[in-house]
Amino acid sequence: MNSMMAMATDNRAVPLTDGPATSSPLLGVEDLGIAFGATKVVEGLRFSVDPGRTLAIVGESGSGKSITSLAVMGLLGSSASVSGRALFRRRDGEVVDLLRLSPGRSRALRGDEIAMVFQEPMTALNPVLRIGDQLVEVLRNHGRPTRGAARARALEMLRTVGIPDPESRLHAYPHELSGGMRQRVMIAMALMLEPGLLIADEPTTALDVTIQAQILLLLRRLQKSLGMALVFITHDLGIVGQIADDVAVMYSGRVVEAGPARAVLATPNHPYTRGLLGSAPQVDASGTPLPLKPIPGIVPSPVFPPAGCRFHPRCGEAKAGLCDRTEPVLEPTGSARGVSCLRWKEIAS
Amino acid sequence: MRRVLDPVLQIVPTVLVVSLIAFLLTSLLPGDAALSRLGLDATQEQLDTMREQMGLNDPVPVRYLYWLGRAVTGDLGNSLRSGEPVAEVLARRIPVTLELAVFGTGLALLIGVPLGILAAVRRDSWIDVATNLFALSGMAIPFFWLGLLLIMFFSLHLQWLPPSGYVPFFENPVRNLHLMALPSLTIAVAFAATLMRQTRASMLEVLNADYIRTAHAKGTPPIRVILHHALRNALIPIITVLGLQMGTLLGGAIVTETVFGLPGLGRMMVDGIYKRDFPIVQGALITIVVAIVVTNLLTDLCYRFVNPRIR
Repeated sequence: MNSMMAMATDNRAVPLTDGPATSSPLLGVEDLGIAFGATKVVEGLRFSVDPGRTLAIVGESGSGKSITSLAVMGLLGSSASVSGRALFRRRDGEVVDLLRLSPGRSRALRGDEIAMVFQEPMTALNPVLRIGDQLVEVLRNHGRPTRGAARARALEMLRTVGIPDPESRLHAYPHELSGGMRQRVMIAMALMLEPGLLIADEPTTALDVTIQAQILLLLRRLQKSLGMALVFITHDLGIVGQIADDVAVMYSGRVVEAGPARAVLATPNHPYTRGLLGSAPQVDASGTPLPLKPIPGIVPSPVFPPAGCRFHPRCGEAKAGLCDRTEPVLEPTGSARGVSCLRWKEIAS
Repeated sequence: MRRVLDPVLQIVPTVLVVSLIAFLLTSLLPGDAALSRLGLDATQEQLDTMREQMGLNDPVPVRYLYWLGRAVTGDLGNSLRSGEPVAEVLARRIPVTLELAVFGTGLALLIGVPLGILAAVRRDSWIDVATNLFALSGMAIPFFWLGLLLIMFFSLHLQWLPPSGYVPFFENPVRNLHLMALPSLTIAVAFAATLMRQTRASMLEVLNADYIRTAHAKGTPPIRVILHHALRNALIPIITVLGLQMGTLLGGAIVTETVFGLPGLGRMMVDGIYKRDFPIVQGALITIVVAIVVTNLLTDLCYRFVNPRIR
């Protein structure tokens, strides 16, 4: 089943729990809203991921993609108010709403069934604790492993993520490792208990380009071998083509375009998606760089969002009297795709 | 090994400079040892003879080197009043102040660090406000006044603890602890206040760090996130403050010993100054300075132990 099939045309939640639990996606986010006080940073967000598939969430800084992942993890502070549902199918088949779990149950899932890798490998590891202790802690948080078993598992994971000389690395401190090595450690830590869902929040952004490619390959290989679902958050459409099965493009706290990654990249329907593709450095067949076409302006502040379509002030296709008045909703465009644009048909033709 | 040895060797020049200052301080003050021993009624002739005997007519550098040479061997001279060797007086006095300092520091840690953690974790709650109020008053109250207040409350009003006196620990441990409770609390309060504020500040900084989010993302129990992940990192600046506050602590000990009638180093120095007993003052001063320098050295070593990045 394609993971984007659950997309609906209106804001009412489509019940994902109906029928046998195994036919539902691993994670189904419906009508997610996140607000800090009166400021809504995410609204009406929906996406779903199936086991063994990768969903890329793409957007500029400030589009709400990181905050969405923290909400799913249950890591948003109490200052945020969260609405909607995030239905997660556990190993035992039970479907739970991640947004309504008690702190204790939420903690029990984190690191065990849902894990996360962060953007900054330089600061995401505790500087005063040894690598081995930080790895083993995941096991201890979710059970009572023996010392030998815990150490063996940590070694195995370090080997799996391709860290040379893992025995001595167990005793190393984070500052003794390079950025790429630390990100591998982060991945090893996230996968200690083979979670069903891995959320990777810009895991390659802080790394050198060559290391980026290695980490992407590693994530893809591990995802295939473990059969887990991967939510890959990035601002880089170039990465989407390399890793994702499906893509959801976010703008100002909403999904503006979604569908199978290959199709969306080949024929983007939304002007914003087109803008993102035009902003990425590209070369033509002869190797000559194509001119960059940056999107003018910046993501609007969630405190004073523009009326109508939130993208209209930056959109080359915006029509006065329409785009600045009516707010578009995500509508299906066929073959499991959806777009949130009032003029997508005119633009496409 | 070098990393341990280097800071140890750095102590030597510090102690030398301080010994020079301690020596000069007493020879620059009006009135000298001869006058001090013979009293104001002595004739000029008696004074001259005494000065010649005591070697006070030698040039200052010669006297310093002579004094230093003997000090290194543990001979700090004799008290001008009782004639007792200064080293013996010190041997009697140091345990009192050491006990006061250890108890004071221990109490300060027990009060300051947990309160600081609590204030940081429950930021902006009533706990935070209350502990901050405690910290401000703790730092503002002078030692002697706090000491007197404690005596009034615990000794005179409640009659729980004795107001003053001293019994060595190994003679009567229970009585010793009774007598040391109020003085220890007196010097602990200001110290605890400083530690609390430092703990709160560094915990707040650390709790916002990325690795704390990682710890939560691993499903680490909240209490372990605070004590294992956050506190371990927050300890680094706390230990620095602990070392820097040793001077203040010993300064407080001088006042506190006077208020509670404890025969420690501080009282020894104050009495020595009043009686113009220069060898006593020099002995006490040098001991206090060495204590501060050694504490800073221990802090430095501790720091290296807690922070793997500078090992």
